[in-house]
Amino acid sequence: MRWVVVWVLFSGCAFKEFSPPRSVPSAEAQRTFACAVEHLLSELKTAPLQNHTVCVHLKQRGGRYPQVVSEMASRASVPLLGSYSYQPVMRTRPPQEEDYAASLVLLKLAEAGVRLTPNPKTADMLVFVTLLASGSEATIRELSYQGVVFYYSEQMRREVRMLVSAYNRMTGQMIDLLRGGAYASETAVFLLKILGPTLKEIGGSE
Amino acid sequence: MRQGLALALTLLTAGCATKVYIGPATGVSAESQLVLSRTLQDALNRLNLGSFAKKRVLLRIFGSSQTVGIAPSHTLIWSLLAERLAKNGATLVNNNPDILLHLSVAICGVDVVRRDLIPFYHHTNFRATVDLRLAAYDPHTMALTTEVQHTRASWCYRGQYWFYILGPYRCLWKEEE
Repeated sequence: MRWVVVWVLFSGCAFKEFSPPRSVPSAEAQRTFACAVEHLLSELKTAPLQNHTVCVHLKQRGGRYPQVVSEMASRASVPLLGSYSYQPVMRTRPPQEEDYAASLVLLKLAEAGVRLTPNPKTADMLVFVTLLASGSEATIRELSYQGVVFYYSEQMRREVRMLVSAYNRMTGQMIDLLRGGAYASETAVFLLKILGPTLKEIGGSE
Repeated sequence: MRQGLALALTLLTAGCATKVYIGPATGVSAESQLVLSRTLQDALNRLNLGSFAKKRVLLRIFGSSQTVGIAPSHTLIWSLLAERLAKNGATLVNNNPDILLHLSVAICGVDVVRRDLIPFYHHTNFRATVDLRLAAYDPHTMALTTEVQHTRASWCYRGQYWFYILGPYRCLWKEEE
């Protein structure tokens, strides 16, 4: 009887699912991105922009973004002439992420008392935000014996590498306000797939 | 007797009641939409929009590619915020604004956790989190006109089943952070 009770208790299962990108995205995946960006922007240099009129470049135009192009690879054959194919056109860094970071850069500059303008023609310094890399990975760890899961964990890690540069229109000089990377990760731990999740947050810069 | 009990347990534990909503073919589950929209409304309700009364406001929303752009959540965020701004006496414009309003959406998503204690209990938990930051700028000087407002809300929706027969018993509640 004792074994029956143990079997029933251990036969439970706990899942944690992250919806795919076209569906509602998981909050945890977004939280790690926002944490990594905020962590990175804490190192933004604002001193070189003092005594200048600054315009932060945003990609959003009229509240819209350019359509992300994603074509399927296609192949066509022409008799006697052979065949041709075209590759999918993929944009690996959607402009939204860069604009989100740029909106926070704008906010930081405004809070630091930097003189700002929305018009690039009246600015003597133009600020550009580029995400060199922005991606996440999920790692699942499981310690089980004969179908009984003793330990189960899911780690969501987001890595962001960013370049914030300023262009002086008078001198033609480019200066780096920020160049670096940061990550944020969040781990959910389940014990026996019954107890949990206990969340452990880690963050840092590289 | 023991063999009968073992057979009964095998039959009971062989299945697993699951609710899975994946991919564009099935669309986003109603529960996910319900809890996310409720959380979003709660977060927006915490914003003080009274200072934008009788002002011409140009609204811009920033966030990740999963929430802003062609994502359905962009339209939802826009509509709900536009409604609240209008209720507070602001006018939304596309040019010549008095105020440039930037809404940065750090989080607008749902985590789904299923839990089973076979054969007695099963639940699916939809936990939505919304984290917003609203900054108002003067459109000419780009100086902050009001204090930056930061708001965060989290709501949970749970569907419970007992013995895989009784249910779902639904509940929706607000989580304090």
